[in-house]
Amino acid sequence: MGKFLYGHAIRDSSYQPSLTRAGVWRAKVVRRGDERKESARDVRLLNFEITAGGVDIAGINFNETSPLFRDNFGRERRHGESSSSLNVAGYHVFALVYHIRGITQQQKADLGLPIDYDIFSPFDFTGKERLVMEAVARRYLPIYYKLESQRNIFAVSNFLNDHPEIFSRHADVEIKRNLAFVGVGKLLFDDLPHRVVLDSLDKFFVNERGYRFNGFATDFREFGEKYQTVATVYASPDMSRIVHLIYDGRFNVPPLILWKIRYGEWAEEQRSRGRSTILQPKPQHSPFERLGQWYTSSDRHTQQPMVTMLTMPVRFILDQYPGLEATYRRSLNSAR
Amino acid sequence: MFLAATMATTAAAQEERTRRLGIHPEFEGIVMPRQVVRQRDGIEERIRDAILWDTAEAAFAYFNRWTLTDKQRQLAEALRYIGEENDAHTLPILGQWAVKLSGKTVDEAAEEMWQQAKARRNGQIPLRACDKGFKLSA
Repeated sequence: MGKFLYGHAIRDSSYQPSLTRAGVWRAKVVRRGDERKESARDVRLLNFEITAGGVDIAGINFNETSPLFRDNFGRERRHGESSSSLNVAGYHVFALVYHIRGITQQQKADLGLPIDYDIFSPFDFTGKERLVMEAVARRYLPIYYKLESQRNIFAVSNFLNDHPEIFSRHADVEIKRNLAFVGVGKLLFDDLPHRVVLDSLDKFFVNERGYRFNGFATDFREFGEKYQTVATVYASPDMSRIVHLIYDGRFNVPPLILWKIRYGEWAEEQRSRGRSTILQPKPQHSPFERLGQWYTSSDRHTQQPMVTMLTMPVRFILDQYPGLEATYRRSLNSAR
Repeated sequence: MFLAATMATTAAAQEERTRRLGIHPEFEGIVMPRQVVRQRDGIEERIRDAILWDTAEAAFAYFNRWTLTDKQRQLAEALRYIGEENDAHTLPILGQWAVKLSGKTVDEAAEEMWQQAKARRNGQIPLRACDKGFKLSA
């Protein structure tokens, strides 16, 4: 079962979702307009476990005939030459989720479901239909040639993720409980040197600092593709302190650390450093405008406002161990 | 000479290959890792066992739950919102369309956009030619 997907069980509005192991539902999804000429496909769905009563998912008789299908299913998706895979809940999973959510109480009763049965959905587009229209327009309408990159499915997701109001209440709860985050879900280290460095930093944060690996986030997207990168994220157990580790060859520098502190912790942080720091406005054109300076920002990964600083690892280490400052300065001067 | 050039090319190719981290974001959304993480797992293992709820896919599936009439109505509503609230910034692509079709009523503009999308989907407008020929400026 390890390679199968895990899901949520939500029986009523007061139920707090939690990740659980369970079986797999199958549904016959009939599609039209598939360029691969497949008339039908069994789709292994995320397992929305029903806590009271059983249901034969095939009995729902779900047919998806829209031409706007997407080919990312709720199942493992292989990447490149690697044997690694990522569980993507894609088009058909959501189509089925919305289908089930649209079932009337009478139909639920006929299917043997509790009449208040609800199914987990991480997104709630009710009242935000214009954002849905914008997403569809990006993908399916002619747009500026210079904006062609915005047609990319990743760019469409980026646009929507900039509007956290589309996240359902349950998803918000999961994010606040540190059981979910907003970011990318793929990791594929191609090159050994980076892998070694990242592994050692992983051990440092996890074993020595007590941080937890918290997935991946897209950073610096607001500054354009020139700077956009993906960072590994580590967070303290209470999520008050977060470290984005940026190790992207495009910057041609050693690993960078994007250090984020929750506002509530900021005063304490200043006290512990024995000095007050003026918060700068957010950089406008490049993330390096405020290198080594604290500024205010919002963290999409955790959906929290944060005090942020982009810094080099050496600064990070010296802040942790101020006693090393004099030794570091001496060695730096002697090297010059 | 040839050897030096070959070596330089190989070195450049290797540098190009190794300088990138190797994370190629393809999907983005809400990621829910497994609660139970074996302590000795590497970070790859931890993320592999996560579920990614792709946001764009969710929007497309939501869109397709609407009837044809609803789709057309929502398109018109979005254009009406842009016009009334003067908010093309929130919806940049639709905002550009609103500017391009500003001489028409909301319903006429929505109808033209709908026909464009339909023609494009049916392959009547090739993808690239369609984009290149799409002039938003007056």
